[in-house]
Amino acid sequence: MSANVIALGMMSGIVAVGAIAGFYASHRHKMDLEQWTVGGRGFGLVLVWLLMAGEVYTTFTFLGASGWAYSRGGPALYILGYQPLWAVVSFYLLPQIWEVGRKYRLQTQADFFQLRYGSKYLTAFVALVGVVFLIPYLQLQLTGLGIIVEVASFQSIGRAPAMVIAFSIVAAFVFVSGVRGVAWVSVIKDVLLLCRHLCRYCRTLYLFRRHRTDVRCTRTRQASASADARRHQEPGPRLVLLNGSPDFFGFLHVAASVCRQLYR
Amino acid sequence: MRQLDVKRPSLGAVIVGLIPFAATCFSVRLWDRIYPMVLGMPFNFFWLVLWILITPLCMWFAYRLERPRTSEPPEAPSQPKRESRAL
Repeated sequence: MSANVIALGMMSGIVAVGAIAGFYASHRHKMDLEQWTVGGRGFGLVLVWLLMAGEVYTTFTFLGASGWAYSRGGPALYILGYQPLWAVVSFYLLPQIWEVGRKYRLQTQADFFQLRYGSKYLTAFVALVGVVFLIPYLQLQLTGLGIIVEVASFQSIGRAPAMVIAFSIVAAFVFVSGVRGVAWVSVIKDVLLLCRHLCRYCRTLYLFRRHRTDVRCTRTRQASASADARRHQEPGPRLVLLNGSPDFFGFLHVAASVCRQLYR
Repeated sequence: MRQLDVKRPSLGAVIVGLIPFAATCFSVRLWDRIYPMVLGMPFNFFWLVLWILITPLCMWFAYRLERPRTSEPPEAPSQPKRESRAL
């Protein structure tokens, strides 16, 4: 079995599991608008946490951030800086918004502006801005998704078909299950991400040990030192190890914010 | 404009929350250097990774400061009730 087939099989498996979870999420829930937009305000601690973590991890995590680091180098460090900071800001803002939303049964951002400022033009403007500015973001995410599928399937699925298939599935289960579908797909995504982290840490530790052994051998064989030293000038695996840390610890920041909301 | 009756975060919690901002946002000049290398990382990289670890601790302290305030019932009689529909 070629790598191509294995990759395709794994991808379609993951997509199938995700789609089933997305559709199944609304099972045993009578769907009305409140259920669709905010899950009937009944999400527990773990589900909200996973939903927020799912919001954090986008194609940017896998493609944008690493591509930016690869092409620009140092400036990519800003990602390490802003990721904890948005969680800090959320800690002071979101619980209040949560509280107001629950008290006045708000469902969208525009509802909040309607309540606070009482102007229907402002409300319409906020709703419009929300939709219009989502379009480039969606386009960005879909392009990233297309590229990832194209590369991961060894070019056997083109970019456009991948985007069409993925977007149809997402649109369908969001239409059926609303935010519940999104939350349960986030659960699957987070489980997969944790597996990926574990695999990567193991692999990095292995590489790191091999790297150190190599260096030791090099020191004993001074004769061919220059050739080996040149080989070891490539960035060490330690950089790879730390590459994974921001998204891993992102979980912790999100946790603080969510805990505060739920223990009010 | 409608005043929504929400509790503001306490000053202590806000100050704790400003610590990560001060350390990573407003002091770039102080730590943006390559040497000394720490754990094989350039110093600025190390500094940012360090604050990824410290920020949850700050948030935990802020949460500890906020929790006694939020756990009391919302309609506590001792609390002077603010006018919630003032214009």
